[in-house]
Amino acid sequence: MKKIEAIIKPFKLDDVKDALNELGLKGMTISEVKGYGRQKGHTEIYRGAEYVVDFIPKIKIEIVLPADQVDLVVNKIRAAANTDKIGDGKIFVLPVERVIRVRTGEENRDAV
Amino acid sequence: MTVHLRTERDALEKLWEQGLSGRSLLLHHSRLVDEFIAGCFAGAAKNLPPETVALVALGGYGRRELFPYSDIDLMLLYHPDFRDGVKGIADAVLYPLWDSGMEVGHGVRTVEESLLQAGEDYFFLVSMLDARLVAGSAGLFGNLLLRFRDEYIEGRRDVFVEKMKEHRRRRRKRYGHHSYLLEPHIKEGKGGLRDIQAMVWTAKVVFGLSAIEDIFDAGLLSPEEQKEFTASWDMLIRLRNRLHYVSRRKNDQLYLEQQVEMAEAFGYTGNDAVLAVENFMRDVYRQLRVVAVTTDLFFDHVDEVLGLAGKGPLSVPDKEIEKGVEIRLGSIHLVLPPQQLEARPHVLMRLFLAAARTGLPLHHRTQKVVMANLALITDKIRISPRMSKAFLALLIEAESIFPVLETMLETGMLQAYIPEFSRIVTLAQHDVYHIYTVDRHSLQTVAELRIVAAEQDTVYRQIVLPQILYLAALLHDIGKGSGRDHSLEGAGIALNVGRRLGLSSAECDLLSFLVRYHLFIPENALRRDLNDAAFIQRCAETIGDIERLAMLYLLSIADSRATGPSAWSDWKATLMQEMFLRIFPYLDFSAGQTREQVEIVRHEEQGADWLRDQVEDLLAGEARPLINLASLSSDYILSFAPEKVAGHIRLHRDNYRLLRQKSLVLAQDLGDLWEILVLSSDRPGLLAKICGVVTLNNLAVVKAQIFTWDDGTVVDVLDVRPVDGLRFAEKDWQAMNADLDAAISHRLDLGHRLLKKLASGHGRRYDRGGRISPRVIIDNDSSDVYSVVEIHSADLPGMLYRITQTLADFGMNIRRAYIATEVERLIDVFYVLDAKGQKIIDAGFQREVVHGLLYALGLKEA
Repeated sequence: MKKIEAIIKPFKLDDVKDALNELGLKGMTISEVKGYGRQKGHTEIYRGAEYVVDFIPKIKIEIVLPADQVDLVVNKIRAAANTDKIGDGKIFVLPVERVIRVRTGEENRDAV
Repeated sequence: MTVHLRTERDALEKLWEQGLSGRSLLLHHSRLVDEFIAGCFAGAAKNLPPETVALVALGGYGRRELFPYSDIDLMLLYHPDFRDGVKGIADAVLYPLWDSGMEVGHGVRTVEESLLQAGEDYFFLVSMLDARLVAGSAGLFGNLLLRFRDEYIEGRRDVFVEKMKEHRRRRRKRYGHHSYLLEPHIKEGKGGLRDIQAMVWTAKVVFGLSAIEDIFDAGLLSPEEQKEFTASWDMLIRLRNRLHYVSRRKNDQLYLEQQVEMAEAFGYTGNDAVLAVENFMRDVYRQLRVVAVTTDLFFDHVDEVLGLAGKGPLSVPDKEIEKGVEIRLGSIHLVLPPQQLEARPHVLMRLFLAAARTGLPLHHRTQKVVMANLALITDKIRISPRMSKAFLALLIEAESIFPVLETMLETGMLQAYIPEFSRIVTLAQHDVYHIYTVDRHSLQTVAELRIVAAEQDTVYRQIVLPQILYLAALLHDIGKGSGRDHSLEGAGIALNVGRRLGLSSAECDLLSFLVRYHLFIPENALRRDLNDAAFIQRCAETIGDIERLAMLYLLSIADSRATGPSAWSDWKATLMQEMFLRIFPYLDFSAGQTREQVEIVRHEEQGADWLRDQVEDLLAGEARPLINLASLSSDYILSFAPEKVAGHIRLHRDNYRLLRQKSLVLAQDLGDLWEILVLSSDRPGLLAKICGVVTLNNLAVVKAQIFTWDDGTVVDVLDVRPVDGLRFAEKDWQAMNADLDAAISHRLDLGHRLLKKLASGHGRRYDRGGRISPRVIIDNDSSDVYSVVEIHSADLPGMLYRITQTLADFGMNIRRAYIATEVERLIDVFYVLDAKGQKIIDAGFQREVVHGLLYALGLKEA
């Protein structure tokens, strides 16, 4: 089992969601997050006042799925979230030890 | 026995299913329980000495208001000499009750212990007010009531009322929390059944009235108010009955998932625009509001009777504010005989203005007078400038705007003055996102706007017409419930309201625009790529100017915050701010390309490359362009949509020879503005000549974008307005092109022509200058590359020609120009380099340029 964590630009959420729905992926967790990577923050000057945007708003998508589907999903997310510009985000793939469905107690493949 | 009560209560539910509801069901239920308890007691008390035990119903059971799953509040009152025997009685009564599955609250006390308890526990004291003898000794019970009255009521009325009010405040606070707005608490919430009980208890203590009917008879409510109040009370009872049965427990909160089936059960229907459940909830909110307003006014009255009014920490001296409006004991009073009020109905609005300015509430009797005289707000009064002046003033002047608008709403004044507002009163939206009803959300938005304006002071200062912004906040959702796009619908309604309020047509347009586009920023900030320069440019074009942008931005924040906790977060705030800051430079005519814009351009280098590709795609398959796309500056590429750039390149290709000698003038009708594209070859003074020809042809320049390609081709785009009232189609554009050709081949004396034109009286109506002293500022800090020449002067025709000609005489290369006109004042900003392509650094040369320009502006002695 693997977990995919994708950090993407907020306006790309719908595209990514649609792309994953096409794959028949059943669930995901979405959160509004802030952070910075190579894009860094930036400073905007407005009428003499400085607005420092040090953490940039992003969307985090989390999906847990069997290892054999990871490449497919990662590629889909990349294709959908790409604008060829800095700040498009990152995708992390993490190992998952166990997955348990709360209601039934089913485990791993049955539980995702 | 136990089985007996269960069966009876099951039978009661059957009766309810067949239509028994409201107060009859409560009475029926109380009687069942009474009979059951009396039966149990009779069995156990056969050999009881007289005057030893009484069974007393307290609280809701005492009032005979027993809802299906209510607690049974029962007290065993006994004589101290009978302490040993009372246990047997308690067992005989309470066990069967418990076994029947009912929730029982019980106490076993002597008269002495009861009084002691009442002193310690305010809730017990209050429940004693509803005490009722179910069975047993009437003497014992009578003794308790007498002693209770002596010790806790006589002479202690104001203590009781203060405590009651304190609990009321706490309840309002707790159940007014936003988690209860969407799912109202029928019992404890604002306007719930508890509010009615509080009124009855207080009436008992203060006036010695024992039931709601007595309050009516005492004339505390007008007959219409009684009718409305009774209807609301009835509805709340029926709601609570059903809630208990549907939830199968003592549930008094109307949860979202129950609302739909409740609406159906109560026979509500919906249509395309409004769901059945929304109609239902709208009524629920209305009933709650009727109860809240009625009981609020009742408590104000009690304060006055007990002399508690005006004794708060904020006591204000009595005084007359204006004729008919006075401050007395810390509230605003209307003191005008009825016939005088009829002659001066605008005083009704002045009352609210006084409340706004002083921060004091309207006295409850004054509120009732307002309610009773709403018919005075006729169509004629609605268009009265005195009314709109007071109304707009209160919107921007109120220290604390929410209470003022709330009172206007609750008295019906707001709906009387702006009848369109009735459409959204207590209108509910069945989702978890909108936690307030639309009317309340609108009021909340106005209040939030006040806070946002203070927080975002630099943005707020851009705004010249704050009253329009506040009005827009009040009306932004006025189109809801129509079934169509509420922004579009609302824009039309707002326009009508604006006209009626006597706003100028520009103000009406602004108001309507704000309502139309109030979701523009929140929707796009989250869904669009804010690094997409072409998109940001389109946003700037849609919005049009800085004031509108500032207004939309502040309105968006206020609207989002007033919607509910899920509509606002720091995360969304950052995105909306980003969008605002991105659009801003495109509209900032006075600062133009300052440092931050250069910054943004750098950010968007990748965007420029992408746009170049787009242009290339557009031109694919056509004859080869005669300019290298890669040589076009990013600045230029980012300034226009790819389609426009492709258009320029086609014109350049197809008119290559012509452009070496002459010029090409193409005009386009953009509605409000006309856009003139001028293509030619770069030569000194070209911009001056263009400006001169444009003025000669009765056009005023609003904005000019000036670009020079690597091969010396000039691409200038001017936004102009006609000053002679001709329509686009009536203009002779070819003649204008001929004029320009003549001017650039030195066969047209523009200076002379313009002078003659001005002397002949053309443009005389603009000649309001003289009061504005011209100013010239050379700024080398704002732009990394260019010197920025800022010129303030009176707005006179031909001025632009003189300025640009003077700059040309100094050999200046004008790179970009913004011409903004603010009420008779011209603010021109030019981005220039000197003849050698340098900034204007030398102090002596700077002085020379300033003097030369001031001379051109007509200030001789400079």
